[in-house]
Amino acid sequence: MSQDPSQELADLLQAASRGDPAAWRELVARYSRRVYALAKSRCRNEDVAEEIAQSVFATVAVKIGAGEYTEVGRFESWLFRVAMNRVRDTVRKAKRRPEARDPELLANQPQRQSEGPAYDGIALGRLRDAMAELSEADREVIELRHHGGLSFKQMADVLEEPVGTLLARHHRALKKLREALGDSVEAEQSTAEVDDE
Amino acid sequence: MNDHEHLNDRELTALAAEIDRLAFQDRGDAGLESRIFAATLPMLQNAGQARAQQPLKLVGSGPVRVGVAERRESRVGMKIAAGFAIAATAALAWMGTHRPSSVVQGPQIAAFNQKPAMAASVDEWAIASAVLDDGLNDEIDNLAKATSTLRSDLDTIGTGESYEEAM
Repeated sequence: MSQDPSQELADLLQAASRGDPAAWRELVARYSRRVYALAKSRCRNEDVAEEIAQSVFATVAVKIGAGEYTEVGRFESWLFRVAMNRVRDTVRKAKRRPEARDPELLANQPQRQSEGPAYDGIALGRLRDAMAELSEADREVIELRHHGGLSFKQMADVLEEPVGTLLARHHRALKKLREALGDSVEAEQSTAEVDDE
Repeated sequence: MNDHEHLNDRELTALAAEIDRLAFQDRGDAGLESRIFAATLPMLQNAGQARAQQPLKLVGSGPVRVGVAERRESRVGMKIAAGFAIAATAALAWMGTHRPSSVVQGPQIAAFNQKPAMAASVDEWAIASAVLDDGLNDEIDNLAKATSTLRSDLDTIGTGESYEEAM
């Protein structure tokens, strides 16, 4: 008989708080890639994304180990709130101090050709560029939903917004992306036609 | 991955699925979890050890134990109150031993050609009061005006004009 997932998570957290390496390994395995993906989507740099993910898990380890984790039953929301704050801080610092890791600069770098076609033949790199054009609020909703893999209820906890607002914002953000990708395809087609002539 | 039932739009659902695919590509290499685990496990265990070494805290509904600092604070108030009480007692004792004599001295007779100091101050007071009296001031003003009128009349007579012309 399978155990209730929330009870299983509670047991893992309790074991981890006692310093159990197996429990901690399981928690890291469950969530580290999602946190990393969230950071990578925003920063577009693997080293920075790993640094952020490690820093988030360091915070979580200290809090759990010290018995300071109190948001019982909402671990994922808490974890991604820590992650989102860390990502925001990193982006803010990078904007103040432009350097090679600046997400804005990195966003303007040519896309790798390895990213295959997507959305009716549009490369994933273009989708990534279109996401970078979204507002901060719209982008956070898209990234928490798709990269973080959170439910809208968990996103409501993280962003402290009503679920209905987030559903509407997600829908609107997708529409904006579709428009941006449509413009991008049209622009590419017209460029190709000019080249043919 | 995520379900996108709420979208109700085939095209948007397809786009959401593509974003899922993009997110999956962003999930890092195979060694990511091991690196994060290795870097953070000591932090978890150190935090646990630090918690175990913390002194026990007394819990309960009331103040079971009062700390040194709290005791010191409560004693300061008591010391101030005691200081006031001692000072007040000392002041009362001093006043009891140094209170002014109750014997009333009679008036002293002044020497023949000497005005008593007390009498002089009384006269000055009477003059000052009179000067400040509005009624007396008016009378002095009227008298001054009459004097100046009389003086100008006498001057006119002195220059040879007849008294009737001057009037």
